[in-house]
Amino acid sequence: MPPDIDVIVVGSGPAGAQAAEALVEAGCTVTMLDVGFTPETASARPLVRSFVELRRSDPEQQAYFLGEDFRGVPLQRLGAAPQVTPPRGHVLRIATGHPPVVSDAFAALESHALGGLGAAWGAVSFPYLDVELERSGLPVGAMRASYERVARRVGISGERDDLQPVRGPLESLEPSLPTDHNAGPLLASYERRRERLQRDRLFVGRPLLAALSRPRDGREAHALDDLDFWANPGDSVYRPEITVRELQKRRGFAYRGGWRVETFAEDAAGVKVAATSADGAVRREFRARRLVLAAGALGTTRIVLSSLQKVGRRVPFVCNAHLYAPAVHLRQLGRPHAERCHSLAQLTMIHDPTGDRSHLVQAQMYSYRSLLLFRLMKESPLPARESLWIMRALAPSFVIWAIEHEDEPAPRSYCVLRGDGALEAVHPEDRDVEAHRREAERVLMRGMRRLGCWPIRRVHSGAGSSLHYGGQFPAGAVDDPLSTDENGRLRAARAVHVVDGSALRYLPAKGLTFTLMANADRVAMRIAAGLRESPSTNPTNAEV
Amino acid sequence: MRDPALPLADLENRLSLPGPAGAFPSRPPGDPAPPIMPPHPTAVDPSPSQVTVFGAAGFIGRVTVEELRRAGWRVRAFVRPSELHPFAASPDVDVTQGDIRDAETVRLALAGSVAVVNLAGAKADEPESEAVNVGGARNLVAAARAAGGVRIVHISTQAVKIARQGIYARTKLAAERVFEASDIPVTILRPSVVYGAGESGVFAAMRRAIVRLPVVPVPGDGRWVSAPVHVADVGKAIVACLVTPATIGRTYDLGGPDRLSMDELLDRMAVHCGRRCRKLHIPFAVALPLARVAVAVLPRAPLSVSNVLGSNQEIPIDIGPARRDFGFEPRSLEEGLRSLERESAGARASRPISSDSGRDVRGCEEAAGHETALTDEARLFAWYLLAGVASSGRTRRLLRLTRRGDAKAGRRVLSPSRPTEDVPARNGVRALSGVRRFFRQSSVESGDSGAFPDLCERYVSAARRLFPAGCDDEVAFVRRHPWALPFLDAACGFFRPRSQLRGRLLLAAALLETTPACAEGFLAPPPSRMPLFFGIAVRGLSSVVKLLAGGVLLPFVRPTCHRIST
Repeated sequence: MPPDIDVIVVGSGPAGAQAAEALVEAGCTVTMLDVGFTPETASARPLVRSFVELRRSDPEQQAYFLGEDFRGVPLQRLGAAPQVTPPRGHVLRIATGHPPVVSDAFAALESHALGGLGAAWGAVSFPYLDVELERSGLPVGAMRASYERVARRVGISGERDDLQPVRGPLESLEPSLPTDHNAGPLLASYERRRERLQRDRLFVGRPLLAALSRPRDGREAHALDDLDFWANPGDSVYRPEITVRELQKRRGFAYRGGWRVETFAEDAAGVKVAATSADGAVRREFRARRLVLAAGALGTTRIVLSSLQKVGRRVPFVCNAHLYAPAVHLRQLGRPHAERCHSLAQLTMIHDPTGDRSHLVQAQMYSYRSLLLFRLMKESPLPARESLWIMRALAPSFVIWAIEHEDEPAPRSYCVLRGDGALEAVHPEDRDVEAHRREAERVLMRGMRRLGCWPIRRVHSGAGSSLHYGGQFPAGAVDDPLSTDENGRLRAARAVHVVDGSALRYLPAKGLTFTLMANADRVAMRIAAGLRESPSTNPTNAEV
Repeated sequence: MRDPALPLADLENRLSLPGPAGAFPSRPPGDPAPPIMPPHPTAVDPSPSQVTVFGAAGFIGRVTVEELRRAGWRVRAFVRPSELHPFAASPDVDVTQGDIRDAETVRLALAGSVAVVNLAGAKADEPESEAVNVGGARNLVAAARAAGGVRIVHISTQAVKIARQGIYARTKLAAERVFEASDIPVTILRPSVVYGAGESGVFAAMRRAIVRLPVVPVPGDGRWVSAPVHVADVGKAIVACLVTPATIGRTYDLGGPDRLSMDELLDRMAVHCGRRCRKLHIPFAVALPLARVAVAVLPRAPLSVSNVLGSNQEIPIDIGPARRDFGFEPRSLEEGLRSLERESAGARASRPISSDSGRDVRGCEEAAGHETALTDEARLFAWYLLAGVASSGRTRRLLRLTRRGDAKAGRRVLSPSRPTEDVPARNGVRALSGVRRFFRQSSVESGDSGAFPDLCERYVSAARRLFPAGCDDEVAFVRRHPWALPFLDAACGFFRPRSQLRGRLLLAAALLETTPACAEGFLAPPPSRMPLFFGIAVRGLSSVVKLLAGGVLLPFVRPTCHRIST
């Protein structure tokens, strides 16, 4: 007897949510299996005041800014994910009994939160260029349509400026959010020095942000309350959770929180999924005709390798290198902080080192204030009292450039499932690649200085800190069972599709979230089409 | 309006209820003084009379308010707007905010009161002494006259008797003259050195010096004689004066029964602190210029010119009249010191200071009592860090206003007596200096977290969670020697950035930054460019100096032995 459910989606992150939405829109019945941790109550009160008002008036703000257990006081070295502030602490919480990811010198973070790592996403949404899509193993035409569809769903705001040729084409744009006290003068400075900078193959412009500049679909326009690291009042910044909440009101969709998927198995009727409850106490099976894996690159890798019993088999692993360059915006010195602004990325600088747009390097600029001064104090060698004075004086002119590099598959970087169930992630540094990156960073920093922004130092927050992982099961050769076909279907299985980072062969320096959403939408459309063609019969697989 | 012709009769009637029966039970028999109990005990006013206390949040003020309440008075406490006070917990104390330099707020504060206790006084040699001490006295007299027949007890100082006076003594003497020249029923009290629990006053500074410094500097030859008096005795004397009409128009010395020289006093205190006191006598000719420099340079000098002048000149003190007229019977120094010890006994038991070695400090931490040590640490760190953000609000605003040519507004900023337009930022920064003052002044010894219990409690619970193994050598050293904090901070920042001292300072900074009372200090707009560069240069320079001193100090930071007798 065929199962009642058309598709099981594993995971509620950006890819899972978009896949589910596309499937439900196409008329499929969808069940989403997810651990789905939500914020702990006390530190997640909805905030509607501005950052400054909150600081001035809320006597309970410590629970919010520092966390109930003071985990927001960074005593150790800079964590892998400084953007995961205490109110988002649940994002990195892991269910009981979940096998670990082991790695030396690599911060391999997974999320069991509702919305996954997307719950702490910076909202920068650049589509890939054609060449980048090709290198990632994604079909260009279908992806362009999906980018536009996703942009219309989540609302992407941005400008058509100098970045357009390098940032990737996107038609469905909302008006961009206003610039703050640092971005405005820096953009003006870029206008004056454009020729010189472009000779260095540097392009500066506004980032595309999944944040609303005007209300739509029950979500509010961004209130410019400078609270983006701490809260998301009015749902103005897109989070996968919003989609899941909306889907729950629709027929044909069921959200099953509290389940951690371990393996899948296929039979004549479709796919069986074995899941354990989040506390590790109960096991049960779910059945559907198709399975969409969106459990995060590492989660999906574990599920696939354990289901296929590929212990010891190495699969590729890519991860964007990532570093911070704190800088002082000299022209802003002695001027106050903007009253109303957002704390998402304000500016983007893209460097095209080869001149053919195939190896871009990208930097996002953030104004620092709402991450609080005490976090900076740790990085200062001066006595605390002097540090505080200087930091407060510099705070409005203090910006952080977050630089991201591309990553290509390399034989030395791999994931492997160990006999004890743990997933091992290996991603060593490559000297040659490192030298190229240094050179690109130097050019970027020269560009920052030309704009009037003096980088103080480079802070490497550790391998893996970009949280952009992938590459395990990319589109590949027909005879490789651990690759996917043009429909995102895992070649080793008949009805299992992969839509998260593990389906991308190559990670350009773009931030993969928007592309994951678009790819999930694309794959979901293909699955829906496939189900429509053969409503009663099961998928067949000629290759296996 | 009361009939101005009958102030005294009216007072006697009104004051019949709060008679301090039993306040001085040991009054010598056969004393010719009039009975303290008012003559008409039956003419009881059903509602207690109200007294306004100026300077209520101060060291003597807090105790006086308590004594007045105990004697049955209704108390209106007059405090400055930025001042922290302990009366929030006592709903029957009517707290009024204002500035004694502002005649209008003084007039309003007297409404409905039959008596005034004036404890407000600019301490040390602050430039505003004239305005507070003399101007305040004038405002009080004017307001009392307008209210009609309000009784005043004014607290002056022994220093007014000395020949060579600092600003403080001079202005306090001028204030006495203002009261004497008026037709208001005034009693003037001139206490000697006042001691008590808490961290304010000369006495507390001496105790700190004994506990913390290897050598206690003593201005002059140490033979200056004083008669230390317990703060509670001063409070009782004030209450007694209020209800004793015979004291009107007179001036009394208040001192303890024991008269002893500076050196003797230090030795006696050292015995009670379990320390030996090594004294360094600084010749008067050196101490006075030193004090002048200190007052000119430091915002809160540890030693004022008046202190030095006072400690060099013999002051004859006679408490006979006070004994006779209102039964003043102060406790002996021995008794007073012992009661102090009792008050802080619980807290002191857990002080790291009383342990034998640094290793035991850590042992102490695990003991139940180490909360006190952590609370003290929180206060020390808060006071230290707030210096980085509490300053500059006023000067910057002033600069901005003067640059705009708005000199009038500039003056308004400088004189807080005028309530200007409500600028939250300015009030915030002012309140912040109040917070900082609080952390510095109030009792470290007693482990009292006072008006900021939350902050201290949070620090204690966070430190327990984040540093479960207790404190390391550097932190233990800073607890024993708080003066070393800036230097060790600088040295650790440079040589040991992951040290526990830096971690704890980071925690304190995090807690302060997320406390609304301090928000303004962290959110304040930056100084304009030239002051910004200048400020950074100054701080860079001071960092280097501190680093050099700290680098020398760092090798000596070891668990060291302490000779402790208690």
